[in-house]
Amino acid sequence: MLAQICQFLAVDSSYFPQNEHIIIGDRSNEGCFLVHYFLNLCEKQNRPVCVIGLSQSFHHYNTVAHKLGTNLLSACDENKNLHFIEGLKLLGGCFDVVSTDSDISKPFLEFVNGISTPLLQYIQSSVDKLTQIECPVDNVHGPVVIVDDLSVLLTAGASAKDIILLLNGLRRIVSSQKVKGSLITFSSLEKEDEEIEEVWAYMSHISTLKIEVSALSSGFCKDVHGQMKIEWQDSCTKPRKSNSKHTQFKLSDKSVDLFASGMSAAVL
Amino acid sequence: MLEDLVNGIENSRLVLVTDTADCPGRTLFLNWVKSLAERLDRLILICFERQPEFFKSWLPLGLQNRITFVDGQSITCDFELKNQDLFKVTTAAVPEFKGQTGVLIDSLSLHILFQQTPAVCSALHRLASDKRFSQVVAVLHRDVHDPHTCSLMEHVASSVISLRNVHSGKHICHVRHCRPTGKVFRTVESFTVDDSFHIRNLKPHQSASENVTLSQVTPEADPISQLSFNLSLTETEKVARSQVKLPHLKTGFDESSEVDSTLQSKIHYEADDADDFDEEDPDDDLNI
Repeated sequence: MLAQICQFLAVDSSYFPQNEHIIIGDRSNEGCFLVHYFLNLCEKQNRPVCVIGLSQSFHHYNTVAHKLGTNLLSACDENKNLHFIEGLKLLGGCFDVVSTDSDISKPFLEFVNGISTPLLQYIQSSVDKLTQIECPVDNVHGPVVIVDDLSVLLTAGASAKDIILLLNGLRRIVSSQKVKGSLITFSSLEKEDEEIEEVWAYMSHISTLKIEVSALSSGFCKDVHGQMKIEWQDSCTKPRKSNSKHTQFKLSDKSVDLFASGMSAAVL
Repeated sequence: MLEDLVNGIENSRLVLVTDTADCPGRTLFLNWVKSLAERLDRLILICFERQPEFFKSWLPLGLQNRITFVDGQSITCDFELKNQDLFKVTTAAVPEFKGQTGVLIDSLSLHILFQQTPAVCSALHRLASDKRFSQVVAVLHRDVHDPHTCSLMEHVASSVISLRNVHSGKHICHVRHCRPTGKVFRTVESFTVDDSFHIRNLKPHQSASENVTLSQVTPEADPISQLSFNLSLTETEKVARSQVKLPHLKTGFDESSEVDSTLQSKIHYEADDADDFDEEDPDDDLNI
């Protein structure tokens, strides 16, 4: 899976992502494989990663990572290069009256109430811990912050404005001189949801790489699970020629097959 | 028109570049920064979307020294600064103004989200009417805001460059420019971007359908050409006609022509030789 997606993105799997702000928009419910791809890629590089898991628990990511050949548990406990923020659990704690984790959930509760500073400080402290770890591959490798999934915050009651403010704060943390890392945000794009479309439109302007996954317009096909469009835009530090690519994909248990439109096994 | 605006041949106090994610206006904005930096003594560049390094990496070193960068991202993160309007942020960036200064904002969208739209319009208007600033150029993302917000912002600008689409490397934009005299120009223009991100080939755009229609028109006999007198104008005559200042139009912002409203006006009348001037008081018989 790693090699195929890297080849499609035309990037070096040992150095990517570097000082990038990648956004993934999923209009098909099939695009979450890209989150696992990026997590796996960073783990293979022994890179410091901070995951804000808002749609799944740590157990889910670890199970998928096992299938792809990495162990997130040891990355968390032994190597200490992975910091997982149980966003789903903490966000749930905000609405749980008998919850004992009210202090830990507080940043999320305040965020839902429109105050983003405590949550940003919470993420900042996690990223600061990661920056103290020296990357064995190369010192130029900054930490990566992965947010999965941003639309959950909207569903939890946060406004589009608060999410844009959070994104802006995250960009600021990641692109600071001390950190010089990358930010990857995944977002489910529900149909007819104006607020998430507003956030997505804003994200499209500030991102450096935009990936949009959607279902086939012709309907379900057992040999083609969806299509993916990528668009390279200006990088964070210098202008870059805009370049876009399109592919179709088929997901299997442990990997993904990418092929040009109309070139699936069913057709050939 | 677009070329004249970018190069400063056409004067405009407030230029608004509106774009969408499919047709971004950052390259045009970069070129505008360069053009202004070459013409003016000092620039204030407020960076909401990209860091100053982004602009520094592209601009020549000599021009970078003329630019004061303001970190817009920190403004939105800082609660106290977030409530400040653009005018205060801009004037606070430069301790003293010497020579001609330009203000550039790489994206108004983030700022609009945290301030009321009329407040942003007001701040932009104050910036544009302040004599310390020669020109204000800002980018607005049309797809992030509702049409009402966009039209409010466009209303306050003297020139609006609305980037529409990119077709085979050609960026097509609609230009609406209002001269200080009040004359409004509306054009559709296109430009290309070379490998070093400079805009080239700025020229009026003709859509493919227009081209087809023009080519399909059969060369019928032109009735004007058969006249014994001249009804059409040559290109030089058209240019000369467009430069004529009509008496009912405002004369622009020429300071020397401004009238001091505090002075009382007087009418001086010089009698003509042929005038039958009556020296008697016309109200003499009224016993006032």
